[in-house]
Amino acid sequence: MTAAASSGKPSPALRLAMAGTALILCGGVAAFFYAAQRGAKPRPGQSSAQDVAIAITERTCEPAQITVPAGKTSFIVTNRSQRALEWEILDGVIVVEERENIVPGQSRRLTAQLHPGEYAMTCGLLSAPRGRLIVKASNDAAAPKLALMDFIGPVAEYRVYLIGQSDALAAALEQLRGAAEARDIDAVAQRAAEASAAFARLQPALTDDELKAGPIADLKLALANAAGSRSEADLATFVKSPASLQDKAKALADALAARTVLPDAMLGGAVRAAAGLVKPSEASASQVAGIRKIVELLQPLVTRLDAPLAAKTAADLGTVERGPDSAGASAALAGDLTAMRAKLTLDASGKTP
Amino acid sequence: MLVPFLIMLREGIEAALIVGIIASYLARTGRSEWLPALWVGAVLACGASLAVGAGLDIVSGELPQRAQELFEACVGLIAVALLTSMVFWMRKAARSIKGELHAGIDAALSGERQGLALVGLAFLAVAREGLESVFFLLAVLQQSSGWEAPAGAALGLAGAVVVGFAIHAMGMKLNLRVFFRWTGIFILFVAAGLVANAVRALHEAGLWNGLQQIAYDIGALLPVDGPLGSVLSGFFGYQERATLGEVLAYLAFLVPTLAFFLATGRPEPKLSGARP
Repeated sequence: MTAAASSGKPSPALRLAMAGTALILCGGVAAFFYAAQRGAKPRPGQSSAQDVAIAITERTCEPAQITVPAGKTSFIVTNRSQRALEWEILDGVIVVEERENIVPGQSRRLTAQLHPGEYAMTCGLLSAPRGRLIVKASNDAAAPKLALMDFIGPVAEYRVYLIGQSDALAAALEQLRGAAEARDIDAVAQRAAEASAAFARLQPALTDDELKAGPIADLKLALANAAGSRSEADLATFVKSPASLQDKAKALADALAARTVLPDAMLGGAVRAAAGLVKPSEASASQVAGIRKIVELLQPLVTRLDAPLAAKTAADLGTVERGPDSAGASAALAGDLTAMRAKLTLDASGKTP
Repeated sequence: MLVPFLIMLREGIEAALIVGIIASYLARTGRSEWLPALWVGAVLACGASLAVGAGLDIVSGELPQRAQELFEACVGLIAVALLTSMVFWMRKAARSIKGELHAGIDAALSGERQGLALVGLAFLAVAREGLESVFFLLAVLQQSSGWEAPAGAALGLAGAVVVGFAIHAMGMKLNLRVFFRWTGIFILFVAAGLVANAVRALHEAGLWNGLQQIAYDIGALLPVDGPLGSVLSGFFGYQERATLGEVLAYLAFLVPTLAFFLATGRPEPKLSGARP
């Protein structure tokens, strides 16, 4: 029946497994005791001046505030209480690193790669007041490099955003078709404005070629004309073709669904959109919304590379959103976005410069 | 000495409990021939944990905590799925025996696949606690000047093994119907603890950060590193302080499964009396 099923004597397969297990167990025990006696001796190169010593009791950290340079830091955490304790580095609610089950009187090493910022550390029991761990950006430490892995989150989120906007575009065009069939000119203009806004928000994801000629360029032009105009003649020509607009929007949605827009491309689109910002209008508000989405997605990454640039971009974006006369502000924003793009473009080694 | 003892007892019980439950279950469903494979799986996990733990200690000197937490969460969820399915198999079996006791309940119920899955689970359950325990034991051994702390840890480990065999022995002694009914309820509570701790492990692995408000904190009343707290933690995943997400996950698992188990697991009424 089964490998282990023969009554009485174990089957050959099981016996083999038993022998192998015994062998692995012996090897494991030997390795364990080797590691134990090896670790008992002080290791050269293991304890360096870089080590940060922290003593914890049930309710305190000693010191309660620590400042370390960004990069790799080794903490030696010693439990000076009478209870088993754990030690955690927290970023908000996120556990950055932790060590559990530290026995009274003993220490454990924790090596963490920390980005600049302010963190909390647990001190003894989790209900005790937290200590502060400040990580300073340092010039000595090489600036952190980002790789494709770091882009996965923002890229996936941007894809979801694009799908949402193409859905909004499709919904507006569907309603537009209904309004056109009912010959309701005001409603057509209204829906066209909505469709145009959705298009403006996803426009940074499109390529220059797509915007220059072809179905997507036609769609953009038709939407802009319809949304901007309220004359019956304009609308009459527009109303003739809602179905073909829907086909074009469908092609656009399919193209976007299959597209991976990396930060480099996102920011290229955002720069183009920022440069094209004209007088404040409903359309430009949507374009700015499309830029804001990209900035928000990439802000955490840029903060890690260049915190002042991230802050300046956020400030300039705010100015563009507020200011009625935003020509200078949008130029400044375009400059920020270009700088961000340079930071986030991967070089031949697959890392940021 | 007490602290290392309790830590190892807790970690050990977490593993021994699952192995003990699986052993009783295999024996009581007439599949004792799987038991040697089960022991092999458990011992293999010990050997593998020792080897991997020692290797990691020599290479980097540190436990990759996030990876360990992710591993714990995954194994915890696999264990929940298998334990829960076991509970409901038992319920089915309990209904089919109608008060009579016979060991070979239903050969059709016992597939080879399930046997393999259970042996695999025993391996994973031991490995899940094993790696972390090896790092703990290494730290204790390397830093202790006296014999008390290592002895305490060793005794804790031995205690956990005793608990595992005690569960197995108890499962063998119980009346079969009682076994299926009360063990089922017991296992559902164990599984609910595994669910809550999987949520915690996912948080510590950096993957789940929602619902982190503290739901309760009774550390002053029943500290998790005290004797009773450690044992409860080993068996039922007790935590002295839990987040809202953990509590919700615990209840979301326990309430429906327990209700379903109690509602349908009742012995069938005697048909002969009610309807001639």
